[in-house]
Amino acid sequence: MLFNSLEFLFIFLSIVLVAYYTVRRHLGHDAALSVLTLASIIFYGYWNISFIPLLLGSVLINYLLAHTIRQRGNQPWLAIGIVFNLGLIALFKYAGFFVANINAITPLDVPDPNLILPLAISFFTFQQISYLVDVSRGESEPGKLLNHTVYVTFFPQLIAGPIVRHNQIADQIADGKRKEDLGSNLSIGMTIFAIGMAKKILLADTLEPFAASGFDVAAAGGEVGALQAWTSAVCYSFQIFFDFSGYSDMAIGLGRMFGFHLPANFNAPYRATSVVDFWHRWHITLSRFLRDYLYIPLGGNRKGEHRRLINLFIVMLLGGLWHGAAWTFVIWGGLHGLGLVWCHWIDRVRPNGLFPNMRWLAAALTFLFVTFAWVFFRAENFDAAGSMLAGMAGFNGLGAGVGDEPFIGIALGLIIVWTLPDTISVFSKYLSGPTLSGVRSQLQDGWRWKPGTLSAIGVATLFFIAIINSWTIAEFIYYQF
Amino acid sequence: MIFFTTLGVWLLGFGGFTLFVDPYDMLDTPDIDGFNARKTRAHEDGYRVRVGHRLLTTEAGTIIMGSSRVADGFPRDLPDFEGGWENLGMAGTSAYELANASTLAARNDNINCVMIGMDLREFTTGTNTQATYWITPLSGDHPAISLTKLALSPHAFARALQTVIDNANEGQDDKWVHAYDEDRLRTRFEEEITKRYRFYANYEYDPERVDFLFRGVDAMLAAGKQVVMFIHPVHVWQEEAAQHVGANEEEVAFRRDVAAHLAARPELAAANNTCFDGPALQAWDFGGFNDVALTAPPAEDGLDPNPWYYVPAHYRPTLGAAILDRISGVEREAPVDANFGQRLTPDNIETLLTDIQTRRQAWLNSDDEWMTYVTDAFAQLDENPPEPEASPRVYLSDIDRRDLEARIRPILREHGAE
Repeated sequence: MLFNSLEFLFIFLSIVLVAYYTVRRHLGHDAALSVLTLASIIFYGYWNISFIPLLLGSVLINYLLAHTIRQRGNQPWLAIGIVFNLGLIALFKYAGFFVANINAITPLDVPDPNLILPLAISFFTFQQISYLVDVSRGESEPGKLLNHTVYVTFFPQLIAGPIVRHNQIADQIADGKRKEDLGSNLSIGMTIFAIGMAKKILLADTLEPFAASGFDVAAAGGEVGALQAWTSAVCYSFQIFFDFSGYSDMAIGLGRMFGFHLPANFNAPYRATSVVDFWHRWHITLSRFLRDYLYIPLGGNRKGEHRRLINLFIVMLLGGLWHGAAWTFVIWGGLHGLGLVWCHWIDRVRPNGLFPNMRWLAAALTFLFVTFAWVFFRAENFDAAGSMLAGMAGFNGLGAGVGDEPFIGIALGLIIVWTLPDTISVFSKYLSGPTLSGVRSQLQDGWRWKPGTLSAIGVATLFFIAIINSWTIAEFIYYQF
Repeated sequence: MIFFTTLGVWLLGFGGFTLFVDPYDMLDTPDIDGFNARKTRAHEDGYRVRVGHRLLTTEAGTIIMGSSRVADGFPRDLPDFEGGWENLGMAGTSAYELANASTLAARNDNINCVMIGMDLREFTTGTNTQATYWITPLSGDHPAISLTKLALSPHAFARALQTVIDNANEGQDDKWVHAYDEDRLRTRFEEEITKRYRFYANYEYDPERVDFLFRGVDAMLAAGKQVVMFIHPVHVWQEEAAQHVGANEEEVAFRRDVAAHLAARPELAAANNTCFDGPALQAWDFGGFNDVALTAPPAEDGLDPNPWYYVPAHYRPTLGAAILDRISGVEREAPVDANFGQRLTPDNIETLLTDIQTRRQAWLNSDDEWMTYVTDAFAQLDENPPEPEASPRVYLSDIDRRDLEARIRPILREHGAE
């Protein structure tokens, strides 16, 4: 069920909201959590009912392991838990990839398991790895099974994040005595949700055909001219940002409607002045996960500068692989790894940066680098990525005209990302600590939302426009992860 | 409160207006003179909204699907057709749309036979769908969901607004109403020379779309329908444009791919109730420089129209009736006798392709004044070629294939075909 679908907007969400608050008022907090759990399972099962046992099984096993860790010590239970969760992803997401690579480099002919990728597996397994590790470190309590189930399955963030750390939301889930400010929750939540939906429908999906055109030609083996290659690549940069950040806004808005404060996931990433800065602003929850559960256990920066750079590179390679079972994603991650290595090295030799007085240039160059890396992320395979890059380098000449629309889309995208504050800045006065944690110092100046008649009418109108433009829309890009 | 009230006003006002005006003439809303009685824009979406719903609700035993060649070239209905007949052509359709439409036809137990008109137009790397596809059951939605989307669609709202304006000032879509006025057809014939030249100059055939369509055909066959596919008999001015510009290879490849798909389905369960003699799956080729296609263009004054064609790309219902008769085995006189159109099979495909070239050569070697006229026109275009028709390349994606399979598999399982 997509957030922008009729079934979700007009049927599912209304019923769940009414049920949750009514049950909470009359039957208590735990009963309301049960409603949320049931609704989340229905939400997940709407995609494919046969994977509900996998989701619930994963929840139960991780919950039992957490309690075992707490009662009997970390090992071997933590290791079992991590292996179990990684094993799930390895099986469903990477088995085909491993088999294809084995067959490519050996004389073996291992059959492709051809497993369907369960929706959200990358998110709910990572979320539970963080849960087990946090419990083992004493940073979180295992909690009740119901609470843990809500934590994992909570539908606003189940499918494509944000990756919520257990200690970011456990207290909120357990807090049965909090007084719900229903009006505030609904108005703020619905407004953020509407903005996110507008980003996805009106911006990301409008840009999609322009982004796809060059990549599709490349995938079909055709030559891509420079005009088409560049416009496709840049449009894709904006498409993926508006799509994913729009989704995250919708998740945060939905969570807020139920009184839960999910962490921010984006903070104007295309204003980043370096690759390091970019990863403080893009998919923030993943970035922090990788830092806390991979980079630091690998040694972080505690084992010397060379080891630090190697750790960064490894983390980004694996971060790329997390996005998809293909070498193009690994290359994408590797490029960002190299970018991080470069930035840290520059930081040592030029502590004020390469362009201390021209932050706009640093931002533009960072954007160009990120766009270049996105080519690997989006391309269907190496050959297609190569075709796109050849086109961008001008090897195929200017090529056929692409019309005015891609340039208008790019201009609009640049204006939005470089002049307007991002969603969490706009709503910063009404977002809480768990949402703004770690980003409060980097909020952008500019317009701030405040509740009022005009803003209600404006946002309702924007939401209406997004709804009526929803019907041709494809899935969110990050659903495939 | 203000947010929800504003949203509610927008949704109810917008949706209510669209549904009440009923621009696509699908609902039983009151027809008010001067407001919405004349459905002047019902055609503008290529009939997708209507077709999407009718595929699920029609009681006709035989339906025909395809592009505007079908919509214009066959009657809307044939009251005397045994079992009932309905024309469900969609202007500008594609293999993508037809494959998904096939899954709807497969689910309608009233439908026994499905005819599908085809030519290269449906199998190019062009846009998969037209805008209103997504607000119809063609997209896979339940009819109630489709109706809600229709109510909240900017396209439908715009058509509704145009309908009201037309009714208020007695306007209409003049271009559509007069598209086939006899005194304009000669001009349109002439215009087609350059248009088709430009179209075929940039044409890219996508064999995956043939595969895609035949998956939809599989769903209909599994549901016990008889499927009769046919290649349109376009006029020689269009056929020669394709040959002249070098799209002949694509024409050949397309026909061979159809034959290959027939060969891949050698043992098919018989259709539950056949409408035409012969197997459950048939393909016919009415193209290829047959006598009908070689007829002279209409006279400039409109007083001597071409009996079979409006314009090179669109034939008259008289020719559609001849196609029906030919497939039904009804005897008729030349030029629509037994030589008009051939069954396309894996066994005769090469002979059929050779015959097409033989007929073309015979026409080129003839002293037909119109042959000379149009080949000279193409030669002039060769000296100063017009810009090829530019359109973005769109390819079928994994999502497209996955979504179609998700619709087909339940049908196959239900009928024990998987």
